Amino acid sequence: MMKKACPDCDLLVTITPLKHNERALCPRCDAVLARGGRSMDSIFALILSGLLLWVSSLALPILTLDVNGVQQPLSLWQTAFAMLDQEAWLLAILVAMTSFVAPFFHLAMMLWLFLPLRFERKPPFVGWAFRLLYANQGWMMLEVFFLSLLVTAVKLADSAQLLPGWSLLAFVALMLVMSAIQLLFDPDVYWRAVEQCR
Amino acid sequence: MSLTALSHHLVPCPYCTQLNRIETDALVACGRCGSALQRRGAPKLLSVWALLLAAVILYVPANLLPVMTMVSLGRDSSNTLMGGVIHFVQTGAWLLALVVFVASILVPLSKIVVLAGLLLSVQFRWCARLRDKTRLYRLIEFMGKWSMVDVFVIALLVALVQFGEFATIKAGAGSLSFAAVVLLTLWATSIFDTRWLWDVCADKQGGEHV
Repeated sequence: MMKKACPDCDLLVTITPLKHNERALCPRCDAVLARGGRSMDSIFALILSGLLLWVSSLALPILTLDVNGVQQPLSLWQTAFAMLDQEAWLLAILVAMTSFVAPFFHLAMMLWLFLPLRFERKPPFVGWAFRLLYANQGWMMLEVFFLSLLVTAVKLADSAQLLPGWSLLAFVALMLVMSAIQLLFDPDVYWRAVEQCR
Repeated sequence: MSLTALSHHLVPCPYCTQLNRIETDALVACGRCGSALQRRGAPKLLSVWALLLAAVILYVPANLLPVMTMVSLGRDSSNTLMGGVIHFVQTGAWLLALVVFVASILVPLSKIVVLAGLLLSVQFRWCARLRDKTRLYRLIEFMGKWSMVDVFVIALLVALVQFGEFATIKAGAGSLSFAAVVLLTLWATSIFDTRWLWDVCADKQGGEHV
């Protein structure tokens, strides 16, 4: 049994322990208050695979531009840097932030928060790392960027062809892993684990 | 009798959800994660109105000015947001026309309208259908970032066309205004707190708003 305030309507709710795949909803406004069966181990595995996928999504070309048979492979970071060349630095920062800087920062912060817990230690600066994680969260738009790639491919269809590169696979996998991490991460469960380390 | 955390002098930490007992209006550190907490005061309606107004003003140039100009084989063509949708319809790319229409016209517009409605609801204490209003907020919060699709598409086109050398594309002033509209509405949405909707109705008779 634990008491929680609904984040959306402030109703005080007492939640009984949840089984796997069970959710606790606010009786007044339907906000999700807690989910059952959140395992710390699966999050840790996802963070590690996320980091590997992040490297892979940058290492190889994400797409190949084909203009009348002349092919130009492009990696994810090249697309952001190309905007710098065009002096569209505002766009360059926006694209770089949302497509690879913010996801890396998220994974790095998660690793910082979860790695010491494996050794039953409290992570250093845990409160700060936790708040940085939240501040960064709004900048992650991998799935929006992916949809934009598809729209761009169709838009260019008249004059050029966009062919998928190997890193696109890694990018899509990273996108799925990141949403799994966000879905599995329960701040309350995490902090109860931290408190046990003291 | 009220059943909210506020009425019990409890403040949930926005980061770690821990309930903290706070009896004064002073800033207090969360007992579990150390985040700065304060008892929820009167709704900060003015800040949200200001951001929303800025978004409404910028919505005009975002739609009227070209989002990009393409110079290809001597022809140069400018595209507005709606022009892009119409182009897709004319070339028969219906699904894409729908995606772009929803992401860059429907979503920003409905966000502005819904947020204005929610603000009015708090301001004038409209206490009907609070549950539905809260749901509506969750909807605009979820779909907000999808409006960035068009900004990214322009960014990608600008970047890619440079390598292709078959044309030049320049980002127009419209795209910058549009990006500003999206970011401003995201900001306004993040400041708005759905608990305001419930707070201003707390002193009315219970039951009617459940």
